[in-house]
Amino acid sequence: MQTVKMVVTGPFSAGKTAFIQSVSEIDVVSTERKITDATSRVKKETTVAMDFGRITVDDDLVLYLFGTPGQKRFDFMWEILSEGMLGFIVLVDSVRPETFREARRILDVFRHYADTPYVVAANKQDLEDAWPPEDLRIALKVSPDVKILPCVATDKESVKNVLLELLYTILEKTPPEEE
Amino acid sequence: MAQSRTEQMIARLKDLQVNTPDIEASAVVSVDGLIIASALPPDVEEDRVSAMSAAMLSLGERIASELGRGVLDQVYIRGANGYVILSAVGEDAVLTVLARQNAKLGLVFLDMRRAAEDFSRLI
Repeated sequence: MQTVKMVVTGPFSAGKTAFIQSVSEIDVVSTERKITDATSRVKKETTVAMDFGRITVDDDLVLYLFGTPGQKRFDFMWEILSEGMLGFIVLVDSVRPETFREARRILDVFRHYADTPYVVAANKQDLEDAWPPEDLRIALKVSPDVKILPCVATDKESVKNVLLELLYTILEKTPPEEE
Repeated sequence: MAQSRTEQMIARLKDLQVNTPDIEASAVVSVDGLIIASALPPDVEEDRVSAMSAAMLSLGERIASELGRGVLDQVYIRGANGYVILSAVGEDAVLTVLARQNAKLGLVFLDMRRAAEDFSRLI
């Protein structure tokens, strides 16, 4: 049995917790707490430590998903959660361009932690004013060889697609281990 | 002159440290990791301490309930040079205390519990 650890990161309110909750086959270990500052206008609860979910792909492969908090004050958790990851997903809220700069910064921070494959998921594509993935590529200055995938974090199939794309990227770039 | 709530909380934290000299520093932070009031040494970054306290408490609560230990009372961390003790203040805040290596923990716990009760009234 092979286990693959993936980290789901991205700015505050990008949809990381929803992403993991949509697809996990176990009750997600989430650490949401009531928001007490002005960002409570955006949403009522925020992740303060981590989310953890699991997906069995087949008999030989299990994905472990670790979601990070979004706010920079929790960046010590980013570092802890990134240990041993084989790839990561940067989730971006496609309708909030004011968060794109932060998304880019988080992407760089995670690339610095480990030289692993990653994909960018353009979340909330079901909303009318969502930026198309290719426009996001320009806005975030994502290199052409990195996948930017359309995503709706509340839709299981959409989340699965993002995870499989990252998985393929990991398998392509990681030479198979000697038995 | 009437004190603001923050001033009252800082005064209460200082009280705690005077009454229990084993307690070297203390802070009250919100459950989403923002500082409410602190009596921490100047070299401690209070933003980081508050975020870490919230993260640790939330994991503590999850593991206590996941493993059938009920509602979390406190999280206790022992390092070679002393203790970090976190205890919930109502539903919205956490009291974080740094205590000396040879601290009398019974006394520390008792005073923390009393302080937490006072803070839950102030918040």
